[in-house]
Amino acid sequence: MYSIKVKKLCKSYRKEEKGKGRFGSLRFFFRRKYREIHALRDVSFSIERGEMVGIIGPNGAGKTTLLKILSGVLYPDSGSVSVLGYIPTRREKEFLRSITYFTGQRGFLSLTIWDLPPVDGYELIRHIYGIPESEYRRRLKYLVELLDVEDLIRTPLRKLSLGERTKVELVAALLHFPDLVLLDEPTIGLDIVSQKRLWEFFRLYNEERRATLLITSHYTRDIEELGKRVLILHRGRLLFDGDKKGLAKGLPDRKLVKVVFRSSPPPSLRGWRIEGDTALKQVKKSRLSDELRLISLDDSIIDITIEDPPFEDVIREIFTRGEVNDEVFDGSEKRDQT
Amino acid sequence: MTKYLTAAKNEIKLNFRYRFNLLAFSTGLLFPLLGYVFLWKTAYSGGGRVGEYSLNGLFTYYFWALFLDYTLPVFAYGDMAWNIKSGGLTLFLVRPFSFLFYYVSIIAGGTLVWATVNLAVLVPFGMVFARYFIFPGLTDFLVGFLFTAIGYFLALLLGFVINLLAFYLGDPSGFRGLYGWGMMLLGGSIIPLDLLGFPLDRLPFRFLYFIPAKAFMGEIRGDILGLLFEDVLWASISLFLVFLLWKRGLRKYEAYGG
Amino acid sequence: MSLLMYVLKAILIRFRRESVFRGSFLLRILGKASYVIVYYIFFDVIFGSMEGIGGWDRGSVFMLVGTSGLVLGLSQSLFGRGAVGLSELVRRGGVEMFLTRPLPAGLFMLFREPSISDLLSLPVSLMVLIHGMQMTHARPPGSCFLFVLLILVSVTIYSQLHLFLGLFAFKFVRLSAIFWWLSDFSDYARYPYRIFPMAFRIIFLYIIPVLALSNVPVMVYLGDYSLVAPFLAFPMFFAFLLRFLFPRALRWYEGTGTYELVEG
Repeated sequence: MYSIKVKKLCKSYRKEEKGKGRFGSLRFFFRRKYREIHALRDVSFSIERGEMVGIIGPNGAGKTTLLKILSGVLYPDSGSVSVLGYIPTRREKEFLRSITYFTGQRGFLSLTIWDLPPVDGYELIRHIYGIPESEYRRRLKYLVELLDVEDLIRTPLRKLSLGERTKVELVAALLHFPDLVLLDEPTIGLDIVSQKRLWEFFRLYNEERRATLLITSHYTRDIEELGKRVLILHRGRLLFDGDKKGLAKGLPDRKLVKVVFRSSPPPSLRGWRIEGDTALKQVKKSRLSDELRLISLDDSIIDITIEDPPFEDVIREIFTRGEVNDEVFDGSEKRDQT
Repeated sequence: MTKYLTAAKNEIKLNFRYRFNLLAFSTGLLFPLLGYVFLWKTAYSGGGRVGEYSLNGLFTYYFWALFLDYTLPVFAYGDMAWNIKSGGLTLFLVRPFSFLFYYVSIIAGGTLVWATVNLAVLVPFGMVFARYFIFPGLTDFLVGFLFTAIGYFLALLLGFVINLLAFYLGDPSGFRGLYGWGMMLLGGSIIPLDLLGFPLDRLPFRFLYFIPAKAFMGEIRGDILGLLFEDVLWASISLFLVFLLWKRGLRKYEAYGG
Repeated sequence: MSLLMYVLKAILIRFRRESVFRGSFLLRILGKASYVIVYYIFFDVIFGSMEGIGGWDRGSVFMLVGTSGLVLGLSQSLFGRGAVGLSELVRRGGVEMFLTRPLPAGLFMLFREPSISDLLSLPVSLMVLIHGMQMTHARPPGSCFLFVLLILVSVTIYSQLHLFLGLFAFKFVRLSAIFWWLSDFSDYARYPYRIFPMAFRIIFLYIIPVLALSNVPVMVYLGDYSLVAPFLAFPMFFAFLLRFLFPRALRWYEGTGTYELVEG
């Protein structure tokens, strides 16, 4: 049973081009030029109920536009969209009760109760979704404990830090226990510890509630944290859709070699990146033995590890390929590297 | 319905959270009123007279007009336009919670507070200057209240129309500024419209301050039904405009942010 | 960079920002000018039936309207938004951005957002002022120079009043209402001071000198120097007071989470 079905989705915006140079502003005042920005181009995919999917891409890739179309906020220029069996732009009440849209940049509580404590906002949410009193208390307790915000919900929102505000906003976003959770850069501006806690929470929520989660981020390390499946967007096109393990298959056959020395690495090491007492290099599998034989002659080595290349490098390669030849990359194929 | 009552309740809580601001805003209405009182007193002390107004008539007129000026939701909350422009509207569209009714709720909540506090401030003032005030009879008071209620609704809708221009204009703030001053002049809160000397009968703004103030003064008795019909007609046109701007605006909405 | 250079740069940047939306920009200029136009009409109606108000004739009252428009408009264009936004800046924790820069923090916050539309609406006030001047009998050239100087003093006094009130925002966070009061009092600037009873004159000429902002320059132009001395003493007294109070006000500042700019 599909939770989301998207077919050949397209969306464009018209943007003004400001004048350049000293008198650009004056020229711009009298004559306007516009250009078309293709936010989404022929995007197609399906997501089943209960899946947790990451959507990554650089800024301007179309991630937020996609989420806003799925939530019914924006109208697509062409293509079809079905979410939980509804057409989002009709914004039927039952559809709205089944979804939530959360952005790390701004929350519903910030708009409505900035000077009041979050509990006042939760009361409003309760009535918006028609949650019975006893059920509301149970859910609030569940979410507040999971996110550890008991001490914060009675403090005026404006007095909370960004991380604290994000958490109390998340409680507001999930109080109605939606079937579909759309998270737009949920960890933006948060420290590493808060981010990790948030990912743990999302995993738990997905497991316990069997809700479908879509998460956008331009931090590739977020996708390493959760979601087996990844969609990669670049300049409005879907470059990759599949298991994130499949991403690595299509890459050059490389391993990352890390060598730790007793003191600093010898200057004779060429082509290695030096970080303190560690030297790093990405080496083709076919050349691994040769490379290891060369460095093993040095008796100041205390440790050698061989790992898969970092996920960020994998994604960067995908983005770069997208710029060069604009192809959709299918993670099931293995590519040869010459 | 409960959700909108909760929003109104939150707005009342918010206003009482900053009591000093609330009191300061309400007492602020005394200052222009005092200015007009001293000005007209001095002007009339020289023996002159403006139009058909006695000094008491002018005082009574300004009392009502300024009370309405400080109570009617002329701008229907400026952050409405900002929410549309900045993408805050998105957070309403993804919920079964009407953006427009949300603002109706919080404005209603705010109005309840302001009207109460404004009256609490004006009543002692009125007692000090009672000798200048023309007290309305029961009928005039009820008619005035009726026109005030419709005027309130009209002010709300006109404010929505101005704010919904945010869907269509890059920056609606210029409109708001001009509209504000236009409302004050053409609505009659600066000077009674029958002294202005140019015809303003075809505009809806006189139903915001001028007509209700005149109703409280008992000066529209001969034409109540006609004015009532016109008032309701303007409110209906404004309602239609709000509906149209909203429906069309949603399709244009680009949801900035993210 | 000196504060003057900063203000000039801020004006340039503000022009580029405000003029992006042309229609709104032009409407805003018209809206700002409406203040003067509306009160020109107001007094025109009154003088249609009266010869004078409190000893002030039509020409001198129009001069008052034009002068108050110039003073308030110039003040609004330089620090109107900055002043009213001080309370919001404190409330949302944005003061850090100004305290950590090599410029006098208080003035920096005050002049951070000049308004071009207010600046460009000043010609309307000037026209009303000149129209009023033409109705009164001619003055020797010297009083024009003194008139302009006193306008600048008025703007200085008004900025000091705003800054003084802004200091209280550090302690009493949501304080925008106090600026509404000042704005309401400032509307008195277009009235001849003699319409007010003695108590009001004392308060609004010598303590919160909003009446003096326009009355004194116009009186000087018409040959009456009786209020000049206290008027000139005020900015000097307030400069000293602000220098003393500002560091103490900063100690009240709590800051808050990530700053969100709210435009209203």
